[in-house]
Amino acid sequence: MTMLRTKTLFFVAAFAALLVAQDARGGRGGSYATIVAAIRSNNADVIATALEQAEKLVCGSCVGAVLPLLDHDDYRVREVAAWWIARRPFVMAAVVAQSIARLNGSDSIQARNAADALGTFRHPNALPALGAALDRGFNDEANAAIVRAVGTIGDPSGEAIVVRGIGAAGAQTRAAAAEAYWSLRGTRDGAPLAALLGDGDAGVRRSATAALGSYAVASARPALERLVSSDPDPLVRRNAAYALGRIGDGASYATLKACAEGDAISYVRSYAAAALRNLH
Amino acid sequence: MLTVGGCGKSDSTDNPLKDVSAIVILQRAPRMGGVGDVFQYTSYVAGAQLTKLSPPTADGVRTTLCCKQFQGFEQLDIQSYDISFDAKSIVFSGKLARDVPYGLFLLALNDKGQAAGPPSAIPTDPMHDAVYPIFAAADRVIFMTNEVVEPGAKQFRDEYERGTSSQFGAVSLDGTNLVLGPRNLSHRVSPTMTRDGRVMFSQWDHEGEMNAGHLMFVNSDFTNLRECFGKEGTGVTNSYLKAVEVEPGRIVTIATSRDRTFQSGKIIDVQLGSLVDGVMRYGEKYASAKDLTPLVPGDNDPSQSTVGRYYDAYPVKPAGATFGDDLSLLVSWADGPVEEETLGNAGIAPDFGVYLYDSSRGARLPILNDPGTWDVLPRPLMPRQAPAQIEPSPPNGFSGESLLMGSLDVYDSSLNHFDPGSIVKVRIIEGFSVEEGFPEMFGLTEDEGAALIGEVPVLSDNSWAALVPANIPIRLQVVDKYDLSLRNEPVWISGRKAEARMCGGCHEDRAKTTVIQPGQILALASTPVSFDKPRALRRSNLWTQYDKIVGVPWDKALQPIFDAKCIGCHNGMPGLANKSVTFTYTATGESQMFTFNLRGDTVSIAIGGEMISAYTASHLSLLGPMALDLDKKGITVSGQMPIYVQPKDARNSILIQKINPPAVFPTYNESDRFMAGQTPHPVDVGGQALTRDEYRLLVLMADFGGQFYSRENAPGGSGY
Repeated sequence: MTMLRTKTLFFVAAFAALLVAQDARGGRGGSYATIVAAIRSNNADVIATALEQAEKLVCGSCVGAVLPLLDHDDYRVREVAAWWIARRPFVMAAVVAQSIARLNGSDSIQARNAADALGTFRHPNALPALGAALDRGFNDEANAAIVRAVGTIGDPSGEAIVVRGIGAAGAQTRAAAAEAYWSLRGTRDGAPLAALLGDGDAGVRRSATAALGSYAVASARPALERLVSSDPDPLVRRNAAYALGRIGDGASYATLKACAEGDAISYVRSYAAAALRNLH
Repeated sequence: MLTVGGCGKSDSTDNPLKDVSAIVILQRAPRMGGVGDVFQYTSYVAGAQLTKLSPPTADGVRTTLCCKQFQGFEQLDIQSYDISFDAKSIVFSGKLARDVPYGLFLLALNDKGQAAGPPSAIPTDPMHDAVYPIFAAADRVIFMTNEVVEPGAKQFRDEYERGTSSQFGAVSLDGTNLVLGPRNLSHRVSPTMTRDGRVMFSQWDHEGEMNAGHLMFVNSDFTNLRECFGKEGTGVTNSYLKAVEVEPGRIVTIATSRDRTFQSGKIIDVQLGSLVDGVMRYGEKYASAKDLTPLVPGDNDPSQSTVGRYYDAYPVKPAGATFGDDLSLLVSWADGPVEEETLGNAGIAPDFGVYLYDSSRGARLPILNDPGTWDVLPRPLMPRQAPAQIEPSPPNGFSGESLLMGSLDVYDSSLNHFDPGSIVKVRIIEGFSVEEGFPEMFGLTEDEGAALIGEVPVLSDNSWAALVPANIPIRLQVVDKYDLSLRNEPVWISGRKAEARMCGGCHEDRAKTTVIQPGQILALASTPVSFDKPRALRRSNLWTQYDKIVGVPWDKALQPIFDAKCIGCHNGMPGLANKSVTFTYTATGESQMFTFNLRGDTVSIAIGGEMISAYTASHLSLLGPMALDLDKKGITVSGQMPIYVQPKDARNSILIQKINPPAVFPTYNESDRFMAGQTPHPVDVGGQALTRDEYRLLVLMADFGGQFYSRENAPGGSGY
């Protein structure tokens, strides 16, 4: 049934394209021709410009041209294509159905693209499908897209999915989960992020330490101090210093002072010095 | 490097750079991404540096000031920079890696004008971008950031460009005393100090159909926001950015389309005021602009070869000389179309280089152009006059948390004539965008989310005042006794905690000075009414009570009215009660008929192979499809169906004229109707009269902008 719906969607779009392969000038200057030319350029910014111009263009053939962009390699293209489709609610409804079907499938690239589309649509109704997909064995990139979509939707009820992402096997997913946790609306304590401070991936530690700066998680202080003192990534040390400043515990004084005076990187020293001023 | 021989050598006595020993140039890697809109600020390509050129001629000596020689800056991109008033340091916005935001850095210079060491960071939140830094008085740096001043709130997201909006921030050089400014609904970019101590900047005015970048002023403590240039019919293009003061009352700025021009365009010389009856008057309506590059397109059409576009301009002159009618400018310029689509299709980026531009002759003298970099923002490395330090605005005296808003005389307006006695109250409306859990649109109109903050009676001396939430975008409407807006303010305004934003009138003559003395107006004779409450409480589930309405959720608040009192006739069956139109897609001849229908069913129109709407039949009937400019989109419309609701203009909406609301001031009076002598609908056809609550909801819906969604029916509105 789902496959049939998907095929039907693309068939309708393709048929419309055959019928109307000519300009339909839009109120803002967009047209079928400019969209097709932009797609032919394969340049993400040109595509974005063309679709933004055609925001309100009534152009059935354009739908047929834009839908394949949901499977473009470049996230920016997928995002703007989904944004354009979101202006066409019935097309969006079909894409939602297709995306949920893809999340129920086994193809990681399709799952990634589906998650990106659902994230751009920003409807919390997609959260159950996204949550379930996180257990389906997709690759790290797809799982990262799933978690990112939950953060983009921003609904507080997505927190449980994000926290599961924090414990995921893939580093991309864990890093995306740290950012998504921070992106959710509402207030929360930040405690789950502390689990990422010992992560073996520097990108994950960067994301986690940066996000932790917003929460002042007192229990994370020892781990943050270790990172300030010895993490090989200067951006992790910088972020950890900032987070310690937000916690403001005087027990961090020695660590921060040593960093402020001795770290090899100037901006890390600056952040440590600023954090020292915030200690109680 | 482009070799230009002796061009630009500083041996001429009238050379405006003859007293400039060196200039600083920002060299960035060329890019096609993230600069398609003049407000975008997050583009990143590693490889930027600050270069000193001494003397500032094509044969000058280059020195790398920052930062490839310093550990930790290998992947740096630099978004913007500023030189301190004593020319002993540089503040810049740098991004250290692709996955981290832009942050602020301070580079100290030694006596030779070289880097004294690696730059230090000015610590800001590592989850947020900090861009466009400029030096301000008192060792402060003013910048733009997507950090949010309101705890727990998400930053606004522009619904068109989809970027997180940038707002004002200020911080001391050591990273202390961070202050975040009040929020506009869209981006604010390109700040610059003026000598009087104010900050001029570009504001994206994106409210309903308004979608343009105008120049604004704000004090350095982010109070006293005022218009500067671009509106009231004096502007010459859609957007203005990278403005720089030439001398008091005179600026140069880049004037261009909002998008597709790589954030470059014309250079215009703007006088911010003019002589009126022998008196110098400042304000948008008194401003005038002189186009210094008339061949450059003001829109986003591709430019011609040798015409190109200008990225920025900075006025220069010999020491002791004055700026004349014609300006000499350090500019960054690129040849060719400098238009995103044209260049993007060719797969090439524009090549900005630094030139000295003589506006009297329209001539460019090359100074530096590396084909492999964008050479932009050339600035003299020399001391300049520091701005005056404006005293912080005094607190409003009523609340340390709230913004005080009000007017001395609501009838004092340069935009409208209001009949005496016609304004009975001022309506205060909060704006928000999709970051609160909405899909990409709020309905069929262009208008953003709306919530009623409150309505304030206009007092007998025509004054009004209220305490409202600080830091949020607000627009105002003056309202008559029928509850209908007489005029909608077409831009968002905002103010800080404890600020007093007391105006002379309702968009009064900007040349007037507004000074309010204690006891001068009735509105401030006692503590003004307070509408300040937390965001989470700025919603209501009591839209059936006249005075409890905040948002107007279409399906929850309006549809029950239609269901109870309208759909008996307005049911989608063609006839006298339900006009029909037929849409024909010109290209194919396919057509579809649509009939007026106030039911709550989800409906659509398929035109040209594309469905529109997916809102309810009632929303589509009242706000579209006639409002969608279908004739501009290759759709022929036959039949007659008017636009029943004019967004933000209830009084000129057919729906409101038909239902003919009664007066609600000074008391609810059904014998006094908006359309005098006309029996209100649906009573005129034997239907049931609308209640006071129902009139209120329908009027607010129209005056808000005709949105389908509000906080009360947000699909993702389960928490904030």
